Amino acid sequence: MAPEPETMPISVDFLGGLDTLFSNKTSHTISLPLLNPSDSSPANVGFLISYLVKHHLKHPRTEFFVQGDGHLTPGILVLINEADWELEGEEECELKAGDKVVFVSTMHGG
Amino acid sequence: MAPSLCAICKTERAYIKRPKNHAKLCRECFIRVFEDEIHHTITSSKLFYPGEKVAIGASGGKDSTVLASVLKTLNERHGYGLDLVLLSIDEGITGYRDDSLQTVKNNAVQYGMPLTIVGYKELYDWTMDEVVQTIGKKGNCTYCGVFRRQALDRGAKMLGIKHVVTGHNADDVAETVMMNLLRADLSRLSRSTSIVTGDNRSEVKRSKPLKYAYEKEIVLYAFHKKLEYFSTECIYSPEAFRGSARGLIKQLEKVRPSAILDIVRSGEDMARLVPGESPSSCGCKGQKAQAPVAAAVEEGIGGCGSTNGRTPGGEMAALDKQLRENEEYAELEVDVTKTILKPKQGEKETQKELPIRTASAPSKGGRQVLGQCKRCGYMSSQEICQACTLLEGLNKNRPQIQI
Amino acid sequence: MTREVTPYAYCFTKFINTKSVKQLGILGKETKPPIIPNPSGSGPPQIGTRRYLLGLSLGVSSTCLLQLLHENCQFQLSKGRPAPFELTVVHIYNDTFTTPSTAESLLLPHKTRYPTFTFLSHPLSSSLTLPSIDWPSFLSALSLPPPNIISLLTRHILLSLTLSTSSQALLLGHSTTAIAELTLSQTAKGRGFSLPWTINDGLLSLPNLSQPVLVFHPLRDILRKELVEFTKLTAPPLTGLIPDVEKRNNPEAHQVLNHKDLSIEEVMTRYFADVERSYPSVVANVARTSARLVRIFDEDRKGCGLCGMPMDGEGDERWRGELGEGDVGDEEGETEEGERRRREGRRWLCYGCQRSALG
Repeated sequence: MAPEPETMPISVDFLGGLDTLFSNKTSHTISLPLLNPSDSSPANVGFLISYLVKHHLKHPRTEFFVQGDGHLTPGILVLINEADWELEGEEECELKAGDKVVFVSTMHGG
Repeated sequence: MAPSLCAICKTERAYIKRPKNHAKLCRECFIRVFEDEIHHTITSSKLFYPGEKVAIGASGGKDSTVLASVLKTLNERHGYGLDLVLLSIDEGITGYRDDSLQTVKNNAVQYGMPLTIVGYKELYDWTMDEVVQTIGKKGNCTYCGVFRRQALDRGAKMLGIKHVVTGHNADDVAETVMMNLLRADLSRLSRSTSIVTGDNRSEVKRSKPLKYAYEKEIVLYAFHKKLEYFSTECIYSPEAFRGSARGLIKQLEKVRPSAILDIVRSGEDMARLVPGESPSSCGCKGQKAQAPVAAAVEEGIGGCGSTNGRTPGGEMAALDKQLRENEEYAELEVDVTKTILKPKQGEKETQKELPIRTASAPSKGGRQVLGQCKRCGYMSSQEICQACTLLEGLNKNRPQIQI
Repeated sequence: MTREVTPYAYCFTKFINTKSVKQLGILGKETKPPIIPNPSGSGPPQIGTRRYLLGLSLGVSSTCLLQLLHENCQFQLSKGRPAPFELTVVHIYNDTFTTPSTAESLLLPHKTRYPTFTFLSHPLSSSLTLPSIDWPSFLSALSLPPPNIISLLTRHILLSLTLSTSSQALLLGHSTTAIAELTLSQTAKGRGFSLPWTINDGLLSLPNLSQPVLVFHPLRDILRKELVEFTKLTAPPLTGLIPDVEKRNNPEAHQVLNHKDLSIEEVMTRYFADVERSYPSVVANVARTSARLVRIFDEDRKGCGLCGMPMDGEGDERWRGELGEGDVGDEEGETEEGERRRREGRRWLCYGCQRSALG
């Protein structure tokens, strides 16, 4: 198989119980296409989320991660290189190779 | 976009955006401010006295883990002089509690706090596994919650401790406020908003030092302080939360992050408007007195995935069903007795209470008085406490095979 | 033109009608008709006719209420009895976007259909002259009213018009569902304390209002979905009187681009559209909750400069600590002017209005 030059490695962690949706594994390394194929825009967090849903979310209860409209389910925090994604432009935040994205659910028991 | 600088130290990069006031903070300043605010809550509500022995209800989850960490820090920093211990409940759920109890054991070592584990088995002769085998998964959270409440108090008593702190956070309180509005349970609403429950009649008092802390900040605090906590959903708790009070809270937070504390504030304010709950709410003549404060009998520690309203689909459906059954009676009464309030000269405005049945009150028996359960001696507003009532049902149905 | 009325339409409209008649009966008992001087100039004074003021938003509920009030009058007249009340219908329009003539024309179909009622359209900016709002303190606290203040201003105008038209009661069209939504959205805005004043039927007496006003919600026992159905079944249907009727009837149909763009009200509308469909009794239950809360009112206490609700001084200071506003917290880059407003606002506005006006 030909190498795929258009991807970049992104480290993705699922915490707070979200790992159960992603093959019970906390830490993943994703080969994310550099460009969003739908509009050829640079890959951002919004694209990462839809990519994860399409290729890595193996659980029937997808609503624990995304809502019907494709937005992240409220109650999940996103940290981009440890910073709250609200400081980074949320879905619009563009990713670069080696970025570390953490999804943490706050909804599970305390 | 260029990273912003911390609003406090103005030197470090901001990593956190606070939901309650949008402040952008660096990690160190956030951790400090988070702790300072819990300290503010503790001192302004006068939660502790020097030398007090306090049990932290520890489930191994994020809230109680953060609570233990913060209390240890503040106790040392501000010299509270507290004797802190960890108290855990073993519900007897194989594969769930085993793992979370391991987390608590690790915490005990890290924080240097003694740990006591009280099992449902030793208290009630039932594990939750056995309860579920007998009654099925439906409704088992009710059993678990009722049992847990007593278990913590009994565990505390065993240790000679009169004060249990739990990890309930602002989101939990906001959810309870919404849930109690949905089920029109005003007296429970009134109780659930107060930071300390259990009055001088009860032997063990409870408080929630994290009452004003956002769940989001608790998770971030744990993340940035690298605290170890356990976060698998209880295997017996219902999964979906669509239409639930919890889902609503999270939607509101997304739209307006301050909403969670605003709901808590509303809940506190409304508690003063509940008839019979507060001396300031005027002694209206002819007003039916509510049941005296029953000291939050069914409030659980935030241990399993279902604090008050997190059993949505099922809870909403059950509530709806019960209301429908009551509806025809209620309708008859409403029309006859509905009266518009008219303040008279020199009299404060009053509101006649409509004879609405609340979803949960078994209103037949007249006034409830706080006393002791005839079977177990535990504080109860009924002759037989909830736990003993549930146990009676369970014991009748214990599977024959087990004999 | 006659239209055949199906048995279903007949029964359903009758059902709605009966529910509203019960409430109007209670209202009739609670209000006394005015005593007017004998027209001949001498002799005993006479009993006049009750007068009510209806707030018409041009939405589903208030339009239904207008129709039901009309049916109620027609029924009495058909029995040879005098009309039970006179009705002034007021539509408050936002004169930032709407001209007076546009507002007038919106009411034309209503005037034609209900010739016995009096119709008024009234600009939102008229609230600027209302004595019940403490304008100096309000204006010193903020420069421009945010959108969620508009409903407060509308309410003030309606209360004041009720008094100035010598009406005995202000009628509002809130359905059970609307009351439930309002209960939870007020709660979510930190206005829980004001709920008994906002939603209950009864005399509303605010510190800045010259005399108490009776506020009444005759549709409080009818679900929104029932009213939506009603608008289609009257002859002729009410749908022609409601602008954007399709959009209003189906709040969930709006395409949401980003959840952040929703308001708290919209979140509640969506939530209750769901609950109303599956668990209607829960909706009714919420609506009754606030009716059980009592009003605490300390007459010496100053009312909030904006909403007029009693202020809660004791809680506010402690709360600033909980909100993290003690040492940090004010918006980044806030000007001195902004900070002055914030401080000013804290003195004159209740917690809920501070949160609405100052963010």
